[in-house]
Amino acid sequence: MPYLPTIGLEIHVELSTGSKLFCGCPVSFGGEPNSRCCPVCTSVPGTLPVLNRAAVQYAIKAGLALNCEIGLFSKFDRKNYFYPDLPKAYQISQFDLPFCLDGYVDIELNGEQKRIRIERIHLEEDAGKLVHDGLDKYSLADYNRCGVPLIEIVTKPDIASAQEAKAFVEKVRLCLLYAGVSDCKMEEGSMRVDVNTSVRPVGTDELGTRTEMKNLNSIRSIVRCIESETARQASVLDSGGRVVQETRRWDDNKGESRAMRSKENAHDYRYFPEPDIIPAEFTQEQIEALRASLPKMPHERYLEYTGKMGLPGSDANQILESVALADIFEDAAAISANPRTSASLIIVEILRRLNDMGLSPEQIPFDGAALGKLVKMMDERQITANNAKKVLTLMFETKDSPDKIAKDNGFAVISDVAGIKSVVSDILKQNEKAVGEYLAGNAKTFGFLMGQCVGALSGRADPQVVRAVLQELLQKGQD
Amino acid sequence: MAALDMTKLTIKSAHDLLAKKEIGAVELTEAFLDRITAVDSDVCAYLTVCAELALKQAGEAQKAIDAGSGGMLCGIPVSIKDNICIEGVRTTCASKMLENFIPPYTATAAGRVMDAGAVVLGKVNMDEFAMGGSTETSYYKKTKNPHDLSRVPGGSSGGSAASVAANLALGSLGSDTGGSIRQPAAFCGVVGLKPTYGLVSRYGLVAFASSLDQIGPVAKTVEDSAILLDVIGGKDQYDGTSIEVPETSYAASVNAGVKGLKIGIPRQYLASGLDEAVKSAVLNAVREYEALGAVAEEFDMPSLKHAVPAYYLISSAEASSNLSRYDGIKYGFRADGCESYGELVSKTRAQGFGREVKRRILLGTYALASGYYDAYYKKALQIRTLIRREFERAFEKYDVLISPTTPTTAYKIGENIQNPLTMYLADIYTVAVNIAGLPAISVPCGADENKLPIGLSVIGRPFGEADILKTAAALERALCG
Amino acid sequence: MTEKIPLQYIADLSCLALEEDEKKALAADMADIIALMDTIKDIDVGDAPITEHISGVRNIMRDDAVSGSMAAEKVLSNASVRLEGCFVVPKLME
Ligand SMILES: [Mg+2]
Ligand SMILES: [Zn+2]
Repeated sequence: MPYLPTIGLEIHVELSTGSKLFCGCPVSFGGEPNSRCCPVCTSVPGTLPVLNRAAVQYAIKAGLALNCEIGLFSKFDRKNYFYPDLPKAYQISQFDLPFCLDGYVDIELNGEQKRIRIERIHLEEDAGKLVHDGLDKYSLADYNRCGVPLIEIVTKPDIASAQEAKAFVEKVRLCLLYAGVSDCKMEEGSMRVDVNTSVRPVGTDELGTRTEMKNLNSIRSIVRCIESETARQASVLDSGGRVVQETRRWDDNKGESRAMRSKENAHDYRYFPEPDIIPAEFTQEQIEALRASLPKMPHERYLEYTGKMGLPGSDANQILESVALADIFEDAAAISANPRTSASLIIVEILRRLNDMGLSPEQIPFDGAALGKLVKMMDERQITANNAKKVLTLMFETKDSPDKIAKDNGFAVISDVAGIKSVVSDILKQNEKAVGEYLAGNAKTFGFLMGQCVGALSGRADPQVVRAVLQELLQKGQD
Repeated sequence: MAALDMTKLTIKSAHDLLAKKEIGAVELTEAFLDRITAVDSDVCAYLTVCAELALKQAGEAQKAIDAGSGGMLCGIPVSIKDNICIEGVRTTCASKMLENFIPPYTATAAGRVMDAGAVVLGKVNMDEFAMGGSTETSYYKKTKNPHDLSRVPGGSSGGSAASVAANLALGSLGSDTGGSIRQPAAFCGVVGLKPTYGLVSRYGLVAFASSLDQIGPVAKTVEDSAILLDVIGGKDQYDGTSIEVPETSYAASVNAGVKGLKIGIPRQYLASGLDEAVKSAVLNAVREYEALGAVAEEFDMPSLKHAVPAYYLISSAEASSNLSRYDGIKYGFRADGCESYGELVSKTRAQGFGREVKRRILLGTYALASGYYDAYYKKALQIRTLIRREFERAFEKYDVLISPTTPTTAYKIGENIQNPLTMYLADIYTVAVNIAGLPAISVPCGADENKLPIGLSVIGRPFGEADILKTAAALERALCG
Repeated sequence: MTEKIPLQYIADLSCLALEEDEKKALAADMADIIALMDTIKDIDVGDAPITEHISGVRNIMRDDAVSGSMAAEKVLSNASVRLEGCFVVPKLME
């Protein structure tokens, strides 16, 4: 029997604050175990949490970026459970009054738009890390990550396929990157996804029993896990069985999941209002000020790029992958008034160099204004396309402005025709044989002569001008 | 000066003598350490005596006094309840669970008294994790009431009150979640003040019930309490519930007098169950106030009768969560021979906590459990709102409220410990103040036929500490002077 | 008369491994106390909101400033067992 999956996601995203949610310990990746801890984040008796204002602002910005309503009155609650990565044995989270409610994200798949609704976004603290490697009877607890601020984005069960889930997660990631609230590095665990999946026979409406798959940390594993779980549930139902509501663990190496012990499933979290943290209250004006502080979101930019700026959709998407690229592009396009060339330099030249050098777009050493200047120099024929590429290479190395680089390296175009003429006539003298053949009617030799001229001018002259001069002089020879 | 027993001084009088160089800080501290050695084996107030630390602090205090930079607490020997952390000094909460716990940081309130030059003599006994009203639930020892060694000192800050009453410290820091400063102060015949929620930082106070706990002073006189409060009160960046209040001198407010003061007496606080001796001492105090020009009247606060169950639900629920961190892994007792995490945690907790603590954890877990939350915990929070509102209405009419601190005077050790319900019900006059987050002070107002002290409580508006201090001080002067 | 308290469930949630006789004694204590707690069930609180926070103030937050962490040695100083700079946890049952 064919089945349709119904999928809901819970996405945990680490916020880019400098310090943890409730203490001054730094938020960073890696390092010695328990080296970023203090009495507060390791639950030493008597310590108290003090809320990080920036984390609250980031959570609200995330909500605004994902089209949520922002609650003007919010509070924190305790979620109580025993687990060795949670030193207080409760997580400070938000239960009934989270910062953000009722948002959505529009995704596009095979040319069709679909709206995935977001139920809520709440702010909470991360837990620590347990290391099991090579140990038989023990695990080791590292609390460096304890208290790192996270937002948890909970969707409605609106997702109907692995590909939709992929498109949604990618879109959310991009929006959060643009909002500047997280680096969204899935490989470093700063974005982790829980997937709730159920299936129902085609033609029915009633949702099936769902399972939960925790802590997926790549788009690839999300896709594979959904495909695998959908197939597993379908085969359970086809063989007359029943899907059990449970938490399952995805093993990305084996490409399969298995049920976790039921003891870890049954939870009565005993949520209650966190007495150590005073509720937060905002005015609409404060929320609007945060909204105004957000940069333009990627979907807005996409419409601009593909609209009045005239980029193909695929180019627009490639640039929008990174906020740094998009910002460079927009500045370059504004300065040069030439979005297409700006885009092609970014997509073809800059991305290739980044790739070769192993750099990320954030590490580009020049700004959009410099790139725009280079595009303008090309458009004004102050530099040839070929030399523009050389200038770009040097812009990565020297951090000088493109005009200075062009000048220092003799890349500037020789624009006086007399100068070009003298070089060309020298070439003709050195290549009498070829000139003779051309004059005898062998048009192919023109290309050879042209190549010689361009080479001698080492790309400093506009090829069109060179061509015109060459034709003129050859014409003269014929006469 | 040969006959001066320095341990009988007050903070104020000791300060004056220190300032006049008639006594020295080291000599004062030595007098207390000697007396602790001599009599604390009877009173059993101290769990840890910090002689070395105390003498070092006394030496530094003397330097400050000599340099003329010492304040009111400089060189004053105090005791600290054993649920308030001092870096490097064992802090047990009177529990087996924290037998070897050495805090890596210092509580703000303790840090402030030490910064003011006070000398920490040691850490004093309490009910385990502050759960109890007799200091009998301590894992280590039973503290005795200095007025009658066969009786309890009250609790949970029994060590604080007994140490002050027995001249084993000039003052003490205790903590009050449902009466834990005021009730032992009443039983031991000293002054105990529970500040407005948010006035004194809780940072470093091992949490019992976070929305109710406050650190406060225990001292021999109202003025001494004010001197301590002046030092420990005020905003702290490490406590997100600590509140910015205008700078005032509480010590300066104690002599203001009560002429024209409007006093309300909740009728529910004079109802049945109250010892005759306690009732007559309270009514006598009312007559004193009237003689001093105050106006007193009885009025109704019907929701007070729900305060005890609401208090036990809220405090136990919060405690069940606060005490979940004791799992044997990060600090404290760790059960032996456990092969799995679940076994380690559940055995550590079963072996490390005493009976009263387990009872409250179970009660609190029950109140929060799915299916019970609305009927218990949520209802208790609604009753909390009703009680707050009734206090707000009362303070529209009255400046302060007064009540007995306890329904009886100190009872015999062992008399009530087998009956937790009786113990819980005895908190009737103190818990509502914590539920509403208000300040209250217990001040001695007489004695019963066994010469056991009786305490009167004065309750104030939020941040009305100056009002309750002046009211309590007026009675103190009227009765003693 | 109160309904029977699900003591084992509560003890499991509380992570308390109670011996049988202790469980019996606690059940007896709890019955009395819960009878007292049950008195609030019948109280009419009208539409009184819950007290969200006792202080009534709002928005006490700190700036996002990094302050020093403790040395790992001190972080671990009260743990009775430690290994390789970490707290040691017996295996989870799975
Ligand atoms: Mg969560
Ligand atoms: Zn920390």
